[in-house]
Amino acid sequence: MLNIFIAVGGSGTKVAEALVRLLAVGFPTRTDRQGVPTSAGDELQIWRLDPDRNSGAAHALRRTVDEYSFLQNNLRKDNAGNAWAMEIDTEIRQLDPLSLSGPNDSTNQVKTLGGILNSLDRNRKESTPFTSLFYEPKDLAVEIDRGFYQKPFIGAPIMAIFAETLKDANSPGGQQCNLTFLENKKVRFFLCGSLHGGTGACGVPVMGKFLADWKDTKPQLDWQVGGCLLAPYAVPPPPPFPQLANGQPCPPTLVDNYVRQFSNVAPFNTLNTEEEKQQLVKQILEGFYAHPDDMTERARQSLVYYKDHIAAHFNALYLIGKPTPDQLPAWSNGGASQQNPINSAEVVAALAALNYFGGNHERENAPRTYVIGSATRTFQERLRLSDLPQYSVQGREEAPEIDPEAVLLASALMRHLILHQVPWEAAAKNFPPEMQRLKEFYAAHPENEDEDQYSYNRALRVVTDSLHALLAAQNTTGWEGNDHAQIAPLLSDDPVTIDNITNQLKARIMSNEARGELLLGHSRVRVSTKEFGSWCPAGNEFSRGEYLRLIWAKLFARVTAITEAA
Amino acid sequence: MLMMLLQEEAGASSLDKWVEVFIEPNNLNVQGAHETAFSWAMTGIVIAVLITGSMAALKWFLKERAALKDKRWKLAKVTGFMAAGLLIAFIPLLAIYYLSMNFTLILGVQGFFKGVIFAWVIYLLAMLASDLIAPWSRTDYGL
Repeated sequence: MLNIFIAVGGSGTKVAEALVRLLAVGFPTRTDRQGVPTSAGDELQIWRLDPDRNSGAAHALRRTVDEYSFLQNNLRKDNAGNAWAMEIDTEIRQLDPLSLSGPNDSTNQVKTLGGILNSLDRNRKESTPFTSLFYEPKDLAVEIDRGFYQKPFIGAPIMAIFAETLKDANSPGGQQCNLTFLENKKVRFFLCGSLHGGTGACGVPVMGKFLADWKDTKPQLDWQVGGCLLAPYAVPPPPPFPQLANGQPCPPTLVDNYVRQFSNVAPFNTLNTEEEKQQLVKQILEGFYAHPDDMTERARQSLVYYKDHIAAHFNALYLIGKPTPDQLPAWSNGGASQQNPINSAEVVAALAALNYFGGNHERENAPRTYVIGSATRTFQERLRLSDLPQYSVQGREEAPEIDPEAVLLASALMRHLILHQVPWEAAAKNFPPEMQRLKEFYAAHPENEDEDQYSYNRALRVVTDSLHALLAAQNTTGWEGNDHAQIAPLLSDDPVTIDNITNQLKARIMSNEARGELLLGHSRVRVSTKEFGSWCPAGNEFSRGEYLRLIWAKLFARVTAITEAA
Repeated sequence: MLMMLLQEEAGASSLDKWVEVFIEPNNLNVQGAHETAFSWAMTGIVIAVLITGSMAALKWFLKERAALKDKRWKLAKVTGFMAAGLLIAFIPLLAIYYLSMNFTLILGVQGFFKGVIFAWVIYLLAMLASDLIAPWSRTDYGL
């Protein structure tokens, strides 16, 4: 199954990053023939629909996909599938709505709404008489190569033109999507963007409708279109200086004054040229930035638009928001300086994508219903792992419920067991009798001994980094914090911490049962190293990925919820 | 019948000769000296076997409660553990030696130490055999 995640705008890109992190950690999308929950066997492409090619979120996503590729390469066997997680195409397809095909090189070069609409290509006439009825001159003149500054009415015409160009396989967008090639495949598209932003608010509906229309014209296509809309979940601090009153002119001297005053202050100090700094000052003075006060109203209007015009085009539509948005640490207006940490709401959106990729399209049978993920009753302002929604995956076996907290506990414990409980310093022939099957594997493949320890180390470093990236306070916003404190010891290489965990994992005398149990939020697991030692895939031909997945699945099956009575 | 008597005579005399190792030379002709030396040798064997059993059980216990990565002992640890068994064996031998007037009077200090070394050799051989037979110990030797 080919899954295509279309990240629209900055929020969508952060959700894509969270999704890749979740997959790296081991979140499943299906069950295999043995009933093991896994994502291996599926494929994922990431498309990024955003005029801001150089955004901090795009760079973070690029790094994350590279790390994921590194993880896969360390777990695969002889260039075959890695069997740990789904294959992600390392090429992130950049769908730049400003990269429009034109009759010659001079068209569509002015990256403003006015510049695009007046490019005179596509056999259109000059559009100013028409657009001046709806747009102020500053809306037509503002540079939009860093996004649409939370103004979807600027982005919507651009997106509509861009969607049209996708029909042409030779256009820049058409070449990236290659929709004709996809017509022969079973594809699940999943669009994700914000309701309240600029790029997300105009990109998700336009692309969603475009894909649905394409599908409707070709009934033989086995395509599904899902989407996730993010309501306001994080608000930026105010810009360094206020905007001018509406209608007040923006004199160049004022712009120069502000450039001099804030030249060494973030985000101005990340800009290279004086002209870029002047542009940014001008954007602030003219109000082209995210206004926290407007977000809720814009999200409400978007929802009404979805309800009336767009929702019916989607096979599944998820809506995610927070009662109180989190405060972002720094102000930015797009570009490389906008490096927001992953927000817990973005993790929830990534879980929605996993639920969708897991084969759950509830609206197919009930198109007038919505998937409303509801928080637990303990949820207050900051999210805990136990508040995260559970999802289900399809497969041959009965679809198991996937509790994210249980997945994370199993993954962290797997990392600890493989790195710190396997006696790697000894030759495999000296492994204890409990590890007889692994001994037999290494007896058949002595060349793997050293390589495996090295590769597991490298692969599990990515799993560790992903867990920290998803949960650690310094990398994220919106988490309550205790969960990371609880999981951190399992991700530690400190000898004292390892000894403490080892004592919990030791088996009781004449028994396989562990002495202690490990906790994460409302989940617990009791497993002994003796039991762990006996777990090994059947036969002598398995990859590192298959071994990890088996260990993970055994641990995941052992995780139980802590009931209130307990 | 004559042949059997001769064999018995020969066997008894070789055992007597062997246990004389433990007897102080001046007491070789003391009545019951050979029986005392034989008892001392048997004491050594019994103590060695008991200590081997106890140490093997302790080793199993320690390995049973250890984590996977700690189940294989390094050679230094194996040697140290065996050496502890030697010390433990010495204590009951010393106690038994002083509690029995026959042992102290007939065997002497020399006989005591020879008995201790005899018990230690038995213990070490038994311990080695037990390590090589038991699967949880065999890996210590890279087997």
